[in-house]
Amino acid sequence: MIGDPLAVAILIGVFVAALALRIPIALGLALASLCTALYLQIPLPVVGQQIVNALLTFPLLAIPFFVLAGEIMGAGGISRRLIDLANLMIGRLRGGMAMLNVMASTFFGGISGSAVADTSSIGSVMVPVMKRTGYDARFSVGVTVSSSIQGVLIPPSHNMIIYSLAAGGSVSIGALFLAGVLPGLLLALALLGLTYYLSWRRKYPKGERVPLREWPRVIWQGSLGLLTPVIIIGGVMTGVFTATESAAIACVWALVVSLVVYRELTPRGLIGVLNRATRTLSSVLFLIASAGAFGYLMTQLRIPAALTQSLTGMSDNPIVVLLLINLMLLALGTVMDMAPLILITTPILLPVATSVGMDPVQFGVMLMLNLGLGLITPPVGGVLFVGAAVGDIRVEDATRGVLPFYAPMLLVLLAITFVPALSLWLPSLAGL
Amino acid sequence: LTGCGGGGESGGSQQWSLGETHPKDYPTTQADIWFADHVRERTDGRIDISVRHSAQLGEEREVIEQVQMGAAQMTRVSTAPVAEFVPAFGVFSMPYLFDDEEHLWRFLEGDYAQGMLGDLRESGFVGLAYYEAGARNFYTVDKPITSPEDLEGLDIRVIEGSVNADMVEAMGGSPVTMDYGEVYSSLETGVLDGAENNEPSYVSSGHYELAKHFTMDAHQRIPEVLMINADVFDSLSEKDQQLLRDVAQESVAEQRKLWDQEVEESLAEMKDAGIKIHDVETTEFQESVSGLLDEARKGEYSEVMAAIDEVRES
Amino acid sequence: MPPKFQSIARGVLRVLDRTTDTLALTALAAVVLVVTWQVFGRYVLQASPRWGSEVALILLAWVGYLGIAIGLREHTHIGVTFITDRLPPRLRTAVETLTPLAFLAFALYLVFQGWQFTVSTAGTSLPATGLPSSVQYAVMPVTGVLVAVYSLLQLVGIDTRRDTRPSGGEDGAHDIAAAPGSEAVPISGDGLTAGAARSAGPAQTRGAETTGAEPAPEEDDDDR
Ligand code: NA
Ligand code: NA
Repeated sequence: MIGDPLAVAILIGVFVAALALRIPIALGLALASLCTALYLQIPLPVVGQQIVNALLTFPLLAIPFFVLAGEIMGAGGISRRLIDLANLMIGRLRGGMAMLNVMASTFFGGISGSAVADTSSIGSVMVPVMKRTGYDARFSVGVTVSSSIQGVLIPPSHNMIIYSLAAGGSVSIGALFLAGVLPGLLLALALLGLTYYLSWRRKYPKGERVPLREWPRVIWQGSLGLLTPVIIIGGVMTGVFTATESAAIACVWALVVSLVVYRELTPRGLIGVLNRATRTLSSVLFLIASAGAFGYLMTQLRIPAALTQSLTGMSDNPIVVLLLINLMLLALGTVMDMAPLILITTPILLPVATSVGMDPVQFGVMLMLNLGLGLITPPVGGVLFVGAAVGDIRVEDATRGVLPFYAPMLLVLLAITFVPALSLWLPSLAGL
Repeated sequence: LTGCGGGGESGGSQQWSLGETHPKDYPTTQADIWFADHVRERTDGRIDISVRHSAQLGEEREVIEQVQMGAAQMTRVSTAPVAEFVPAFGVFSMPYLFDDEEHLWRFLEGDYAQGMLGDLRESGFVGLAYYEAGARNFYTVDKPITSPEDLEGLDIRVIEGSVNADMVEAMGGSPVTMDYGEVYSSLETGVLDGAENNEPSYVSSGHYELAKHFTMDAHQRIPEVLMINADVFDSLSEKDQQLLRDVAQESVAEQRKLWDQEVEESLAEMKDAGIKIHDVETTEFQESVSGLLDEARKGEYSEVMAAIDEVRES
Repeated sequence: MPPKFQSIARGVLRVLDRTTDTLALTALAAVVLVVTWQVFGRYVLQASPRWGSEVALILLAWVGYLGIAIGLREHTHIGVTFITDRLPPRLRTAVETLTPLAFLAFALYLVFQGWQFTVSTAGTSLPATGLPSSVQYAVMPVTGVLVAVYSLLQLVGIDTRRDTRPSGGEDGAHDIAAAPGSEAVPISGDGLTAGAARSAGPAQTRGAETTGAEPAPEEDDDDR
């Protein structure tokens, strides 16, 4: 049964057919696994066992926690105060509102780690305001969705936790978190630069001045939210709690700030927060679960090993191999979502990358930005869709708005790919 | 696609998977492969066992379930997770149950322990042989452990299971159950003060890079077991059944030899890495957990512990 | 369908929806508490609860599995629509019924195999809590039943979404329609950030919807 070509055809064929027929990706993965198990005469309960067991992984708990923290921040007023703080810092520059959007995402990315949460939370506030103050809708959505991709790079990032899991737990989550900091900030700078240039060319307006007497309040309230990443990373680095536990602490902190300090969250509001978190989690966890079963069958059929072999056979040149990997990921990212791609491609591509000398931590950062780009690329881009929705424009127009931003993002991707120090310097300073 | 076997099934030949969580070069995995090679050779390829190492089929408990359902045919697992299926095997997790390796193996080779392999049938397995997994020892980051008092206030990671936590607590430490994947970074950041394992795993996990004190207290000797799905086993001819049992028993000598070599190598590596190895008198440690053993002697493990004591005295 | 039957069915469903949501929400909140308690226990009580990680994982499995049913109900499961969007409308409608059918097949698997699994693991116990392993697997048949109900409803053309009601719905299910941004966060505030959160909706996102079903018709606003 090992390496059976017909079984491989069933596994891949059923999955692709399901995708084409608009059946949800997670369900497609599960059905493909079931059909293949049926053909291979693997007892069907094993598929169920793999689906359940994929969820019985402690570090996975960080995902619900960070998703929940992101929801609490939105509902509890933390996101809004982060925007106010960013406004105070750069609002007076030309295109200030657009740059503020980028900055707010940098801050937000340091807490939620979710590009979708960023776009829906920051974007639903910023885009209408931008449109009202003279920016065109396409540009507003473009800035919003491209800057939200920082969320997957700047720690914490639940996608990095998924990657660490997919890599078999051998890649330290702490090291990954630190590795994302500089690339995330570089991305922010690149986006700020382009935004400023476009704003100057297109004569976008300056922001409103924040009265001096408002400054202490804005700074104080904004920094409470900004403390979240400090608590998370500081707590992990000093051994107060593990990376997984830190995610639960982030929830508690966001809750305390929202309930006690800002007093914007009511108990009923909290139920709404939990409800929305459950909605988001429903799709992520089902994906992880059925990708577990799919991955089990791929391993049974030795598909990753065979693919890895054929990829390494194509060239010995590290530059060529890494470019090939990036192209392959970019192509996959246009049609599939981030979490399933991390789970499916890591076992295949990580050995290839390490075989040409790339560090698994650096590979993780490269994978994040690459698949993050996929989130804002049609035809399938979750963040792009949310962006179009909050901007009240068609997906085609949103795509046109993002177009100029691909350039800085691709440059940063190349920098991450070919400059190891960008990812590895901070973790090495921390001794990770 | 490449792959071994595949496609054509010829004249009654069987292809089995043997689930193994350790990586390929681990002594236990090498013994699995020795077993598989000899079975293949002596059945002229009629029984072709593929060792699926490095947890390809999943973690130990998952693989046990798969063997039970017939999704995999064989596995090599620790007796600790086996206890979740056949509770009697939980006895092996008791601290200081055996005086030394010799005591352990005189018991494992005796009638009582071999009879326990037969008890696995109730849950759908046939046990073929026991394997060695050495002794588990404490290792710590800052504070060396030379007596149970030194464990006071230290957060020590233990494997899940109430006996392990009870043991560390009885010695005075604070047991922490934590996902294995998080132990390395927790030792690094200080969430944990120490953990415990055998020498080869201490080295292969890289924990020795962080926890520089290793205490030879040998608090547990938890053997492992090589087992097969009972239906698969029963479907074989009597001759093949005997052959499997014989080869499995022969592989034990090979496994113990490889294991001892690995422990030697690990110890040499530990010395090279500047690990402080503390040879301790275990009497105090034993006394601190004697209450646990007395309770077990009176309770569910009375019969098996009597048999173990009997081997000790003989 | 006769109106009387419809209203009874609605009542039953409301209870079912609410029970599912409550179970999932409680499990989610409980996981946060358990893990926080673990940290607190380690520092303040000098002993972390032994059952902590095991219970947290069981709860996570429940959140994840119930999420399958909730995601089906709310159309949050991500699918690829760009191929079907190019089909002629009639063919597209036909293809769209495949999703609930596929879910129904999966539900049957969950109910029957999941039940077998639950029964067969009832004899084994988890190491820390001593609970039977079936507490992890029992979620399979439970989810299976829910998935079967929701997929059957969708097959007969009933919109199962609960989140289609306008803002302010009484039991916390008040939010934006189920666009892919159904996790959109409503932010109400002053000045700079004045009410802008409501713009997210499925209308403009053709080619972007998640798993299917047309946007909810207006009359569904009261309660389904
Ligand atoms: Na982040
Ligand atoms: Na943004």
